[in-house]
Amino acid sequence: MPRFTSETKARIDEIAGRYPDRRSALLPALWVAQEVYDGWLPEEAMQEVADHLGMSRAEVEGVASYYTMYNKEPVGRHHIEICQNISCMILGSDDLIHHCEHRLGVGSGETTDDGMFTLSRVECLGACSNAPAVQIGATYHENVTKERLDTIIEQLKSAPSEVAHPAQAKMPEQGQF
Amino acid sequence: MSENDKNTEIHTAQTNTEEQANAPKESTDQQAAQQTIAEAGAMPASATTAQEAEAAGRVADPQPTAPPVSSTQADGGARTVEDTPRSERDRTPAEKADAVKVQSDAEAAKAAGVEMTKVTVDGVEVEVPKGTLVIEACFRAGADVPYFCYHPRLTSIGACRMCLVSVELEMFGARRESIFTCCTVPVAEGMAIKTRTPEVKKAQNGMLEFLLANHPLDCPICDRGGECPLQNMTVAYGPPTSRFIEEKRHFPKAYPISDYVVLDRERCIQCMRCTRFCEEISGDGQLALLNRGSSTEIGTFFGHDFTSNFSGNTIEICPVGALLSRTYRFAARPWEISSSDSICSKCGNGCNVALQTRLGELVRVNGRTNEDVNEEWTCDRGKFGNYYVNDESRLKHPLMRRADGALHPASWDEALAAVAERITRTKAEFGADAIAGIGSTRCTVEDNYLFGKMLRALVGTNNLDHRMLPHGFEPMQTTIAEIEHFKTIVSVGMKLDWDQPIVYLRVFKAYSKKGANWIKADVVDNTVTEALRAGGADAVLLLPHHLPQDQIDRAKKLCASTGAKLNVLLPDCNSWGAARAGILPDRLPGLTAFREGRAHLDSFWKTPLPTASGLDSDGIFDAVSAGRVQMLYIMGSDPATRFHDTEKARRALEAAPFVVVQELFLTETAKRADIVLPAASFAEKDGTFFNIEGREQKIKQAMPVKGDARPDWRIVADLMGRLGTPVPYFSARDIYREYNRSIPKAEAVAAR
Amino acid sequence: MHEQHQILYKHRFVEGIKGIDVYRNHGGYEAFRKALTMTPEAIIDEVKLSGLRGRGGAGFPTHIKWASVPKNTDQEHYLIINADEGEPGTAKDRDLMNNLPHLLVEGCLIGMLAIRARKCYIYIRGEYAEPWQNVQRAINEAYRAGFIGKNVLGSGMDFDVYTHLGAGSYECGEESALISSLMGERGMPRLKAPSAPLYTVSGAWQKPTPVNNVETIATVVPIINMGGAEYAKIGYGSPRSRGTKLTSISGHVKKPGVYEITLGTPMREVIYDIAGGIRDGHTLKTYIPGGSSTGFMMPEPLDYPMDYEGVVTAGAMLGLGSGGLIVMDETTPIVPVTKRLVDFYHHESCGKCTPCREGLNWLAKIYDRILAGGGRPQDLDLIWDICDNVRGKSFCGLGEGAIVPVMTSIKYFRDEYMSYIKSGRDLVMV
Ligand SMILES: Cc1cc2nc3c(=O)[nH]c(=O)nc-3n(C[C@H](O)[C@H](O)[C@H](O)COP(=O)(O)O)c2cc1C
Ligand code: SF4
Ligand code: SF4
Ligand code: FES
Ligand code: FES
Repeated sequence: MPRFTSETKARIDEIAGRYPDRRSALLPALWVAQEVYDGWLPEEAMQEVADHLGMSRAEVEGVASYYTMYNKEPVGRHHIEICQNISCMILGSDDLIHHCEHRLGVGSGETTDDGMFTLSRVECLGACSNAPAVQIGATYHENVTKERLDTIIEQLKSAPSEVAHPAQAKMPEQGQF
Repeated sequence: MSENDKNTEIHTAQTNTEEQANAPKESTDQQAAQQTIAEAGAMPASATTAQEAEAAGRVADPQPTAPPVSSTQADGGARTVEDTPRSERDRTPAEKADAVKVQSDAEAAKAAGVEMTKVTVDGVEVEVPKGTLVIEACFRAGADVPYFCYHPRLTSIGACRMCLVSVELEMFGARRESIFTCCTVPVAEGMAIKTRTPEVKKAQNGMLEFLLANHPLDCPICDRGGECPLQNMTVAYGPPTSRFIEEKRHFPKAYPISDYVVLDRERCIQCMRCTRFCEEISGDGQLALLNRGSSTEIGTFFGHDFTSNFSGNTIEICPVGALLSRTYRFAARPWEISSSDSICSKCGNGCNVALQTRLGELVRVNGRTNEDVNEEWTCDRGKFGNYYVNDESRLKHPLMRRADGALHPASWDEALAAVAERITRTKAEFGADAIAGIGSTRCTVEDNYLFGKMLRALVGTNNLDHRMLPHGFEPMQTTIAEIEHFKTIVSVGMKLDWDQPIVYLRVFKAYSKKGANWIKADVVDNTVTEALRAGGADAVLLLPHHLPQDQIDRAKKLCASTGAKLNVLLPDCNSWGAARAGILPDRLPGLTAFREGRAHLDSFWKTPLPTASGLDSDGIFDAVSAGRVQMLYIMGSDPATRFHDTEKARRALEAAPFVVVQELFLTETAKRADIVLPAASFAEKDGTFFNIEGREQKIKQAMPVKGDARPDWRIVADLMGRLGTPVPYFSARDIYREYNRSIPKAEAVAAR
Repeated sequence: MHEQHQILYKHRFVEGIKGIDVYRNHGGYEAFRKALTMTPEAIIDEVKLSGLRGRGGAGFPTHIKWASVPKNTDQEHYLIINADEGEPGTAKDRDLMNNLPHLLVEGCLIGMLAIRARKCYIYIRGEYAEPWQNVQRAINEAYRAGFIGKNVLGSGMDFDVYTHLGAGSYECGEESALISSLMGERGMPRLKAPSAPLYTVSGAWQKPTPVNNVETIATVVPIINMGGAEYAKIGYGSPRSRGTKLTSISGHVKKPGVYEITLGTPMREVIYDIAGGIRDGHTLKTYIPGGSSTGFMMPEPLDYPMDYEGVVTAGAMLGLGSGGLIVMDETTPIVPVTKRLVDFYHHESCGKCTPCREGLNWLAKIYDRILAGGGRPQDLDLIWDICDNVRGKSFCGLGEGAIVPVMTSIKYFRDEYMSYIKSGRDLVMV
């Protein structure tokens, strides 16, 4: 069942208008699709993007599979991404990850049975001077300790999901031009 | 962050590209920036201090205190500069084709007056057109450079890093030498290219070791083995041992991605030839790179079928055994194959192909280079559709309808005697015009010519046609190759990539590489008119031959008024040949009208020909039903399924008192025949096809004839003997010579 | 201690500086007004006088990049801003975008004037939702205030600034890969000179599209404000390294953070004064001067000036890098840290070229084996030779950068490797 409404398409068309050619809107269009398809990109989502942008669907898959932030599988309501790179690592992010795995009962890259959390290890988040850093949806948490992470996880259980489109989720006002 | 921005950033508004071309790899941005700043006079103060010079020196060799052993590879006997010159290496057919293409491009450029540049390759001086890639200059100089991702018909991307060579050039007042991928860098005047320095050798060993690290040890059961560029390059340039002791990368093996293509991702070296082909040449974009880094693989959209009509080409250009043909899988080792140059029998475009056989069976059809026709591509119909010649259900003996009403095997003698007797009897009882012949768009010119001669000169009738629907003949006004130069291309009523695949490739090239406008329409309507008006003399109109005559007439008028070229495209491998051989009720060989050709033929064939036009195929079938035609002689044609009005054809076949069919298979037509004569396929005989452009192309026997079948022309010749005029033909060549002489001189010239 | 000039960060801590009103109250958009009265050549001349060099990692002189943009206006020119900050250890562009988004927007406007562009694309990495929001909000405000949009400030010129969000790929920070990504392709690098024209001549969409780092373009604002000559006076080190550099200091220091550091300040001062020194009870073991690709360096020498030339003098394999100083004390196990970096580069390699794709895959497997206790004495030579086979042969800077921490770690910390190989144990981790 196609999920793109005329409004979705208009949104993509508006974005496409910002570039000299239509296919340049592919990355933003995939973001929009990920939002429309509940936080991940199933085959139909890529097909719809390809159809709407008028490009080869294999190429759309090629692009979507290249970038790590396009989810190829459904993710939980909250996507906890813990930086494992150097600055965070030397300040204990491995412990943080193990703690989290233990607490949620899942390995990295997995989703809890209740579909509440997905846990991932990610590369440098650009918050190195406040390491260790954790990204959840659109929000960064810095200087994270195990205790703080516990509190955050508790709070998340009742917080709205940000997975659909980490960036869009918090956008106060869209560009109106 | 990073280095190697150096390649980009070593430049100034002042330095020219040649200089950039040779920026030493080892230099850092700092150095480059210093140089550029010094040259631009940008910095306020101070020349380079001794300290900074020293620093720069250190950067050039960032490893002042390198650990002792530097290449454990050398212990394994890695290739060194002492090894035999590589130009003696035997190259795979694909590599040879690449070199030929490079050669012909260079000649074309030279002929077009492109400025020439002098460079030396391993001391050999060569002159190449400006803009030539260094790798092509190396080929021209007879030096060998290993490569994988480079392909002369695809854009260079510099991905595999196999083609590294050392390039020396004057820059910043000094001669500098550095390593480059020579498939991406264009030549510059005075370049000294070295393909065999120790650095280059080390790089080659290293690159092959990398490529083989995760490559499976499949060679013994790989179809590519024996003609595999990866194998060949490794033998010539690679390290004989590998230091890789880890677990190799694994993917599911032998994964079919269509009915024709099977993909082995473990073997893929990510050269992107196949994906570039799909993007740049066939334009369907059905293969793409998926994932990234060392997980990069190629694939179709979520594993859906690779439905392109050109998928087979990716098999041929894949430099390893990652993309393989399902029809050729495990069929042969390359050295067991014998290969004959021939022409594809599946459509009128006339791809040059190599028919490859093993033990008398066709095992593979590969593209063969012909820049004027198919470049080096073929479509899938050609690559996978010609296996019918192997089919067990092929007719192997003559068949005759006996008293029980069924077809039974017979000897040639019995069958031919019966046909000859029936012809003589019918002619005597009902007159010559009670016999009619249907020729074939899939038999050779020779077959058709002799068939026409038999019916006209021996039987004495003009009831002769080959068309499965009424249409006229408009020679193409451009060649296939010329199509790519038009600015406006209008195609009507065709699925071009399936109906006229090679024409499609040219159209797509014009559209994607040369910015042509491509308008597709269903009928000759106002859109077409407008497009042609706008395009003027820079437009070409492509029509299928089966459009209604009024549309074709309209198109003709239109083109005449706008200056556009008109190409009416015929369907079959020898549609033009059948017409040219004179298999038409009102045309003689060379498509000459009776008026012009009669006199010549009367004397050439030494018998007066019937004067009135005969019946065309529609007329013939009507006449059968009306009882006026008593005998149908059909060669290599299946009107029962291919005629525009199959009902009519079938009714006629059933009504006809006597039907003779020469065929490969027991077709619907053959089933209704009284005598069926088994014919040789295009792979089993020599001959000539005229493609849609009217280009004369030779087919060559590639395998022994199946069973007792015979080439069509031989069957006809035999019959002519039995009808009282023995013909002294030993080969298709004799007939072709006669065919040529049968055309009045002036026409003969035009007919070529 | 050397004075630390606060050029970019002058108003960094002013309440509400994210908003256009406060920003304008502090002299915001004055540089743009001034630039509007200047010719493109004059702007480039100021930048030339200032000696500004790229802050994104390569340190290429900005004025040369801009001057190589064709002057014709019969085709569109575009300015591209690289806000893909992904180099491990680097967090300065994020800080700038979060706190001074209008500085970036103003810089973009001046940059567009200088290269005769009318459109600017800011390529922000996908993870940077918050900086993206801040920048987009600033852009929207600037549209409303008439600094962007039609007939800006009565100049008769129309300007547009767009943001473009990446989706998780370090390689997209490499400028040609960034261009691919901006054009909706896989983030794979494209051919560069000498194989292809420069992007400043024919880049994205075959149009002139110079790429500048966020910090570089923001620095143009104070340069126009104070004059290039004045800016060129700032700096304690090489005459070729002028001005200030945003540096994110991370790791085992007392005061990690993003600092604006005057180029040429001695490295010792940077680590021990600005960053407060090593955490209590510990000593400096090694540091990475400018993002992981610049490799490990030893505690001595430390008194060299931190600038483009100084770092090289001190023995860095690559230059100053992107401004991500990572400080490690003696508790840091080098082999696992290096393995982590190898895994990072392996994960981020785009897969286009053989040496990077296969070499890093191989290295990652060797490190796995060594850490699992399966190391062999010859592995060090093997790693070294693999690196050597990547060096100078990979397509882009990722492969070149990836081997630097590996080579430097072997060069300086051989004993830690040998411990793994001999006893399967880390020398440091107990
Ligand atoms: C692998 C790799 C990643 C890079 N990532 C970034 C980045 O995230 N941000 C950046 O500004 N430059 C990055 N660069 C450097 C850019 O290629 C380019 O040099 C820079 O954007 C030019 O801008 P500048 O001259 O203003 O420094 C990277 C380079 C490489 C090789
Ligand atoms: S399948 Fe073959 S042609 Fe395609 S990328 Fe892999 S090795 Fe190259
Ligand atoms: S070095 Fe090669 S594989 Fe690595 S990121 Fe660059 S182009 Fe891609
Ligand atoms: S290393 Fe974790 S945020 Fe940079
Ligand atoms: S052939 Fe030149 S890089 Fe692949």
